[in-house]
Amino acid sequence: MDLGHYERFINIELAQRNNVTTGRIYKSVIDKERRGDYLGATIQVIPHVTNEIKDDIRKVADESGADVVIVEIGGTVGDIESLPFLEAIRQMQGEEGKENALFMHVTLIPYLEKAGELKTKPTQHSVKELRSIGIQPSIIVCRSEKEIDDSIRRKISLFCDVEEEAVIQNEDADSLYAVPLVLERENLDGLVIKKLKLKCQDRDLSAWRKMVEHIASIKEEIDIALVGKYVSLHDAYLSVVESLTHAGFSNDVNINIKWIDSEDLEKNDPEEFLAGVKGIVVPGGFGKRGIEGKIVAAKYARENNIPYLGLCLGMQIAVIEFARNILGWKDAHSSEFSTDTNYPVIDLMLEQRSITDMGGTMRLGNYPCNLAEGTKVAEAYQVDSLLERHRHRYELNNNYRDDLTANGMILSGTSPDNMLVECIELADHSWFVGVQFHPEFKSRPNKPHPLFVDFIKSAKMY
Amino acid sequence: MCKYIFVTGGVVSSLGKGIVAASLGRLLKSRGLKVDVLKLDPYINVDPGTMSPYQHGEVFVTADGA
Repeated sequence: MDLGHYERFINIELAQRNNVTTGRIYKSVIDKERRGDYLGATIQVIPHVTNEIKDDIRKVADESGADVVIVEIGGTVGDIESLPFLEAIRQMQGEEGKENALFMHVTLIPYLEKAGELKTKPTQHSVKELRSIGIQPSIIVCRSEKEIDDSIRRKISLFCDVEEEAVIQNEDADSLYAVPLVLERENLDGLVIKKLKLKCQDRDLSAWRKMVEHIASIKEEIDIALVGKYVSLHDAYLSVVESLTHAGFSNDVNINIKWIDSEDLEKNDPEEFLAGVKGIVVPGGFGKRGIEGKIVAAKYARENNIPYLGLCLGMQIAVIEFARNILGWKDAHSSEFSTDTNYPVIDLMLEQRSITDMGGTMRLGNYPCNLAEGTKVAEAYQVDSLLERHRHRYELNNNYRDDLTANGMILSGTSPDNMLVECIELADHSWFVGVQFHPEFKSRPNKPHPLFVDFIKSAKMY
Repeated sequence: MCKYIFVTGGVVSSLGKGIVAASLGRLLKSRGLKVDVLKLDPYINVDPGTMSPYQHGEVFVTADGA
């Protein structure tokens, strides 16, 4: 999920090579062993696994042609799982030299309310752990809720063997997007440039700073309902929430997300949960649990003329709801959730029918879509053809296209070969749009996604 | 020649390590440097596609389908 932050903060498009798991490393090592690439050698973590890790790191550098590659090691130092990665980066610094590879350690300085003190001991311990495996960080970034004074800096500097100026404070910020400005004040980038002897221009953060100032100046707030199955873990919908937030920036409103567990809508009056919201979002999801509640949410949006944005499963939900309540097909469903429905309005894609493996076999990544003229999506995007990211196996069943369109549903986007419906919307509604793809991955704080911008614009007016 | 910044995390998870790393990326980019990133994830899943969003948050989809 951190890939999303990288795309949003740096405004880059990442690829498969930018995320490597232990599983991928081992799979590749084992495949090579089976092919006989190792010529009978005994395969070990050092050097075979660590070499594979180093190769993957260098591949990113080679293929991107970047000046700097930031390599984040997931997990926390001390975990068994991350040891091969740490060993690999230790070796890399030796091979590349200290002027070409540096270690930055991010830690927590907890504040003890009762003692009124910031505590550095956990940081000391985690750096000790790092040093025991041969890694000496040259920069320590300290997350804390209170300001770190010079005495704390000196203490960390002394115990962890880093320069005082390399103890960087990352104080809690009001907005996620203010963090670069917090670290700018601490001159983190200046320090990195000095240590790595990078040649570069002066820093120009003016546009970013203007954006953060604009965010802080927004006063108006609107409630947007997000109806899902994983609402107790907000991070499960991170990119959707960020996209709504970005669209809020450009519409001068703060977005207050009303988290709604779809199962709550099954047992209770939806009015209790949805009254007063200015827009309803049903994001992507898998599995049968909570599906009926999402259908209730789509119905509520349709009947009350509340702007609705359905993403992936959210589009399919809108189609099922429409089939049941407008076409009167009471048992209409997706064949993903009901095998005996008489109206499988959502069905497995043709190309998916022969696939039995679950891993990596969905329709994944960028696919093009053509938009129909005069529709809400065409108006939002201001283009007639687009490229969006997908992740699905099921799709609107083409056998029902005529029934749906004859009764007020508009198929506003399709794949260029017209085989897959990509966008639907309702004719008699303020703003009711469902898309099969995931626009949320392409929104940036300073370049909000047009579909979300248009949705929030309608929500603001509702 | 490419330079490397290795970012590790200590003490607890959910520290915002990724946000610090991404913010540093933004700062370096604002100086005209070309920045790329690599996230090394210490779990055995070959890709995050089969993992529950309950444990790791959303499954991010890249343009080439990672």
